Amino acid sequence: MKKIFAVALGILTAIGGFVDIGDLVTNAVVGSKFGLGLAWVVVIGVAGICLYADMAGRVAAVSGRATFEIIRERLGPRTGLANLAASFLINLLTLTAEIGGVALALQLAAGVGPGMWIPVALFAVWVVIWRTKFSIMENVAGLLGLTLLVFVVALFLLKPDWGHLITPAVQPWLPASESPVSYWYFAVALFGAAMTPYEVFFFSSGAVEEKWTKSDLATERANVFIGFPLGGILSLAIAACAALVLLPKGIEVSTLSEVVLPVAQAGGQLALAFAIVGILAATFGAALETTLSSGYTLAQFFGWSWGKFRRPAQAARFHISMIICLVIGGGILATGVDPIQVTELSVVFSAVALPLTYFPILVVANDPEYMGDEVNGRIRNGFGMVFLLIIVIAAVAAIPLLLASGMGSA
Amino acid sequence: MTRARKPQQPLEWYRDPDGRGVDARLHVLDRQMIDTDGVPVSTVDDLELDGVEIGESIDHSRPPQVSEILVGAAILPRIFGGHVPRSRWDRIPWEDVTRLATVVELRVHADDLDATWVERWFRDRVIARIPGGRHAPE
Amino acid sequence: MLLSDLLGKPVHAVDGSSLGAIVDVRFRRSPRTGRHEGALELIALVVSPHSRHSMYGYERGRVNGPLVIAALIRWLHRKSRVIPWDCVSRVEPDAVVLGVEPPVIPLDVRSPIPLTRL
Repeated sequence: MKKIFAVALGILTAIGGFVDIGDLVTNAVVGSKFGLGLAWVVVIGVAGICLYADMAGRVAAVSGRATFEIIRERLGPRTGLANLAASFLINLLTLTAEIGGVALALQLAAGVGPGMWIPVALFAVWVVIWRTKFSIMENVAGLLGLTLLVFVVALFLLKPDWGHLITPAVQPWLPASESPVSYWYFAVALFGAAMTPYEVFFFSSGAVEEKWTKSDLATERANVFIGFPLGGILSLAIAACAALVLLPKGIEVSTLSEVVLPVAQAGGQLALAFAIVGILAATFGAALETTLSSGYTLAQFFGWSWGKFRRPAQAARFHISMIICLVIGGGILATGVDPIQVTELSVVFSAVALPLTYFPILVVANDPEYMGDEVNGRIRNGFGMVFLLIIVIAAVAAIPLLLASGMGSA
Repeated sequence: MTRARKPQQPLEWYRDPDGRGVDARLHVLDRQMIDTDGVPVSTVDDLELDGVEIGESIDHSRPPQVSEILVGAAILPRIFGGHVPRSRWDRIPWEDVTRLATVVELRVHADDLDATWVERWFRDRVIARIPGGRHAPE
Repeated sequence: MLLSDLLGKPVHAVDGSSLGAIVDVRFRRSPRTGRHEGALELIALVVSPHSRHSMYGYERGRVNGPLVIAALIRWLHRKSRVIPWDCVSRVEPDAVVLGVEPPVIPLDVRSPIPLTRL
């Protein structure tokens, strides 16, 4: 019975924790411009993250090694350092976006800000990382994030014409007002939002934090293959709501208010309250995860002692580097830059960073020295190679598309 | 003084020496080192070899052996090239190694090693000054 | 001498020709004594004529998947070989010089060692 409870908790946490500010904003933007025409990207992105999170989790559970330790061991110091620099900087950008997201959510709730909320967000994130146990942190943020299901509820309350809504998903078409360059730019952005590298760093480091072993693999698989796709459905619901309310009126998403507008329209103040709680939980949880990821990547690369399961005094450099990252993120936001724009930039650069993270995972998942009998089978390798190809294409196309489409506004 | 000579073992032995082959870059370099409590200490950045000197003829009566693991600044030449002076090497004697596996296990405590001074410095100067730093998370 | 003084160094045969660069250094681990891991004794150099980089274990024939990556890396390291330490005469600052003609021992354990005439 206890086991079933643990599995259920893991799944629910995975659902609630799947969505972050990148998913929220990108899905809403895409929904407001293309309806569900880019739904196929979400499907592929979710499939990809399931495959690779499962691989990273298996590697961590069987070998006890987290992702960045493996990157260092397999790539060597020179290439590994290049990988670290790129991954770390992009992670820092995502961290900034998430902190900005927390501030925006608080602004939605309180009606003032977001500038004043930034120090609050930074301090709150730091305190939780400093003092709260890993499992409590994960579970609370994940479960509260389930309130985002209000988007699914809103979708039904808006009484959509299902045929009209679903058609673009199964027959992707280009609305006359948008160009192909813009379409593919948003496809890459959406892909980057679904497959953000920090999720893999965090998932595999979390497996080591919670001391998973081979016997936890079944639970891990349930979390990933049930939880993540359901989280993906949540993303689609956000896009669908935007498609129903924002697209017909040509409303552009430039703040979080537009993202929650469909929910307010469908269910009034109560629904809006749920949405705000959900967004706050999702962005706060994601801020915790990205901050920890920056600590994990640095500590694992340099061989420092790390982990929330250790007293901060036993993992000094790990905690200090996270504090510094939070300060840098806060500093970037303090310049007054629009957090929504930071978010849109972070998802595109996430797409660029994907091959750096995923290639080493694929290689190590095949290495009998780490995995013993649990090396990848032919099928997993087949899918792994297909996705690696997609990832590389997306990574290479990302920046040119960014420039050519002017961040989607062309 | 034994000069260079024909291989003394059957050729297949060099590919698999009694099942005890260890390739430095593949199995040892950049691996995590953990102390006797399982706390990470550092990565293996370089190895000091006894019995060989640059420029001198090699004496083959005894094979060179790994005498020390180098950590810390030793990583820099492997990334950027160049040399780090001997005085700046942080080293861990090979006698402190208890097991060589996917991690390198040491038989001493991290705090007893000279090489871990950086972590101790940060711990004592920064973390210990912040409230709650010495307590386990709850 | 440091291990990094060997890695990446070119290897020169007796006649001065280059056999490639050192990609890795092979040791034999002696049996343990009590709580001490056995000593690592240097027995051979892994040399590749095409590349100075190590390639994740694929080129030694022990990691086989994914097939495409394994095949690609095997091709990149196709003439890699193991040179016994007995054959080395000196380690100079810019190269490792051999003292005798080394036997051809392919790195990949699945390739047979060619027989040489005595």
